[in-house]
Amino acid sequence: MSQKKIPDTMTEIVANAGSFRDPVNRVYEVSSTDGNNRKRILRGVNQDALESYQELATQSFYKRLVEQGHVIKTDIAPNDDPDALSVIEEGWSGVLEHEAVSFVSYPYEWTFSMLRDAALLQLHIIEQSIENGWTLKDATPYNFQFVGPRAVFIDIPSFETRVEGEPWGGYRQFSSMFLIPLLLKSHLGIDQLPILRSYIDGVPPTEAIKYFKGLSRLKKGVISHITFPAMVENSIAARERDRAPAQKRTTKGQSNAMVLGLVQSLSRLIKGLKSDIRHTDWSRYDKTHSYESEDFVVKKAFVQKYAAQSARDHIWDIGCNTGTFSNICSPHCNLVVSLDGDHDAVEKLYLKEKEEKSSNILPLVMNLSNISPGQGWAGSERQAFDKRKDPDLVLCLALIHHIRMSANVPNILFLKWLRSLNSDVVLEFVNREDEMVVKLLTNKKEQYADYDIEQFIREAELFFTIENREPLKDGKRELFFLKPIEG
Amino acid sequence: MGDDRSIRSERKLKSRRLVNFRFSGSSRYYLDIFRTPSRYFVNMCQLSSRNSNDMQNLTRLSFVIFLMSTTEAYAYVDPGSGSVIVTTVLGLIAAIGYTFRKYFYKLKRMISGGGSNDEPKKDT
Repeated sequence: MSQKKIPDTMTEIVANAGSFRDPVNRVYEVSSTDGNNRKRILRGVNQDALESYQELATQSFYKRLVEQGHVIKTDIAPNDDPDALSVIEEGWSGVLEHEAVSFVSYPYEWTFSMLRDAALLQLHIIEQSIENGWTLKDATPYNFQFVGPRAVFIDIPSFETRVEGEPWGGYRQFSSMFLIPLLLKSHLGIDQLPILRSYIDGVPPTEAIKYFKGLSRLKKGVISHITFPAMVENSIAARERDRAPAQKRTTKGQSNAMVLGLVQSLSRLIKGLKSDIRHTDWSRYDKTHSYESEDFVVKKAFVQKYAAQSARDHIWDIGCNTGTFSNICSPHCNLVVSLDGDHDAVEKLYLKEKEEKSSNILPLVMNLSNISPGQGWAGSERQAFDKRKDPDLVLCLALIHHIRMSANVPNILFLKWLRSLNSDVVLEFVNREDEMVVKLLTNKKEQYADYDIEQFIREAELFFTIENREPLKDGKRELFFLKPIEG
Repeated sequence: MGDDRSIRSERKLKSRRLVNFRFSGSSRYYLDIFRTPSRYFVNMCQLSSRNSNDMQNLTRLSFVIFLMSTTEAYAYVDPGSGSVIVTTVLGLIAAIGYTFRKYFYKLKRMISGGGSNDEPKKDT
């Protein structure tokens, strides 16, 4: 079943395109087609996985993890639930229902600290599991989602009872997908995001070792978790390349102390990894923006007015810097998705927001001229950023001149993309006279003659109705509130 | 002069081959095997043409051709299965520290007569 409509109940059930790797279960998304935004996340499970969950649900360590918000809330769907029955018709023995995560994000959109926190949570969960006779069959960051700025483990069928002496099967995956990207960033300053985007299954140690030259091979964790595993893997590849059958390797004989010792040593290693926040163009925006305080107050009031105008589910702040305007929108919606291409600005926002207990801001690193594409199996295993969920309001404040002059994207293409989001828009146009545009154009041969406010208005009116305008900085900038034209 | 060069090449090959055999599991020498087969091939061809009856050289030449032809044939090999070896070795080392810490905190609790407050707080 890839898609199923039940006319009576006005619901649509779609099998999640990224949930197929574990044959014991599959996730289904149930959404109402009557305009109601409510989404249910159901998971069809086979008999073994169902029995395993029933046992897991009685474990006190698991209940504690759920209460602490580390693991997603889950229940067995009742037998008379029509949506669950539709899932069972697909051949599953039972159906679990998870609390829905309102916006899905991927590790190649997370900052260093987000990946680090997810890694530490993964280790905490595996440690708790092993101490209680359970284990996790895998260890991938795709088993985590961020609810606001808090990581949550979502893959319940990953829990299974541990056979005494069994090794931690998720070690290599943990290393490739969490540890190695963190080591690359922390030890070498290499941006982990493009690497994670390309290596969808993580960076194998045999590739990772190529980044470490000279003395950097002696840095913490490199010999144990990169050099040594790379040696072993190369040796196996060299030995078994032309031998059939491959040598069977024993999977027994690892005591709890060995597994827990390894998990705890990884945890200590990762806690010691750091990535300093540099002074980039945007990481100190809250102190270095080009506004006089009076204009800044007007801008904040304009944003607040339209954020609070109606009940909004999602607001996107694209080009959020350190989140000044995300914070203004935060009380007026369920979730603010705050995007910026500057890793360190987003990192700063994440570190601030994760200290707020009830924060509903999800900070993500995203270059808007190259947003996350659909990728993985059939190009749909990981969804494109703009295909996941439409926002209700988009803020793009002082962004359009970067899109035009830094990314060379014509305004009309940018406006067309904005329209494709089916959302209200608060947009700040930065005129040619503004000192930031002057700075951008100073050393450019191309002067973008098409970039002026009159042309912008003509193009905007092809896709939107301009509901309000507010000049700033003596007309050097102008705020617009845009409503999408239907049809 | 030509003979000297071929002797030097042969010596160099002997020493390199020895290294490759001895450390075939090390990433550095593993990479060397694949970085240099074309050079081996050229050297071996020279040696072979100069002394076509040298069976030893022919054997070496076959070895080099074998290496060149199998560089990327990984489809059936799962090097990741080696993580059992890795976790065994790293686990053994880690178990020593784990056991030591476990008994250290137990002893500390016994001496201080306190609860479990001395155990380091887990940061998640």
